[in-house]
Amino acid sequence: MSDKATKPGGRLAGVTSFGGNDGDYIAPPPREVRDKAKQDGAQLGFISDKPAVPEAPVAPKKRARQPSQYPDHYNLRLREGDRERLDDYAYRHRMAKGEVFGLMLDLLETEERRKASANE
Amino acid sequence: MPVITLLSPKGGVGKTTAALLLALELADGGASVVVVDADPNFPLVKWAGLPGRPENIEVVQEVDEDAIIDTIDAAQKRARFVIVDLEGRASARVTNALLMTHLAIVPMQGSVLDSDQAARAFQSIRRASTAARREIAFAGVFTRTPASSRIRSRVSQQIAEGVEGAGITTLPTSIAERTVYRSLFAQGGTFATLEGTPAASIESARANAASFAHDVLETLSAARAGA
Repeated sequence: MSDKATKPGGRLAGVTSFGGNDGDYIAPPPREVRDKAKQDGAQLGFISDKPAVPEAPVAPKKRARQPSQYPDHYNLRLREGDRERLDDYAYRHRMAKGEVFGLMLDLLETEERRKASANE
Repeated sequence: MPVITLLSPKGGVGKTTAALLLALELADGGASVVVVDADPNFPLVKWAGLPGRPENIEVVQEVDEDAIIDTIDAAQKRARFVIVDLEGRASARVTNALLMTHLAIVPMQGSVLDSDQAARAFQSIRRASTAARREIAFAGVFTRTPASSRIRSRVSQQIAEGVEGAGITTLPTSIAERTVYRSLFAQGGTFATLEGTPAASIESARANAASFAHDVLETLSAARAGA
């Protein structure tokens, strides 16, 4: 354990004698030995930096279809003067504007049902 | 031809310093040495880039965990000694390097944290031996010990006893904490080319390095005799 030099500090006479012995050669191990060693090492936390399998290309996620929050959905396209005609109708029949609007929607639904049954 | 690997899952224990000291001593003895720098920070490649690198020391960098096997194989065919300096982290690169190793050296300091990590390193060597179906020789070496004192702390003493009790060989020589070793990395070159350092300090460091290299060769020789 001491760092004090107790061994000869000069040139290392034995150095060159280690070379040239073919019995020392370590051949690269076959794949199964490497895999076994890697597996054993991983149990001790010596893990691979490479991903185990190549990552498959990620397919874009399909958006799940959401149920409509408002099933009774109307698109109203107003022409010039439609607003005034609705107001005038409500005034002439002494009806609230909301009541007239409800009446209009009833007529629309009746028309849609008629069209649907005609298509069938 | 022999492949000597320095490993520890912990960083900062003195693997790279030990690798450089060993390479310098072996090269000084006339042997050709290939150093495989497998630390992603490439400290030995940086040292080799500074002036004064002996011609018989070649430093190659390799961080790919699979390619390291072929790199070591190619190195052992062209040099008398191959020294592999691994990073201070547990990785499959360590495992693969061990499969190509004759002697594994585990540097450790006299602290509980270091000894825990050294124990992991010894376990990994044993497992690699089993997988490779051959004995991989190994030994521990105490590093960064105080240069001026030969008195161990109680913790260090207990760790040394524990290592010995587990039947793990430790090299008789410790690598001391020395400014000269840091200067080698800062200036490049060898002990002989260091400037601005007292000759006595260089001589002490040089003697420490020679003693360490001698222990490594003795251990290697004993392992070959036992094989």
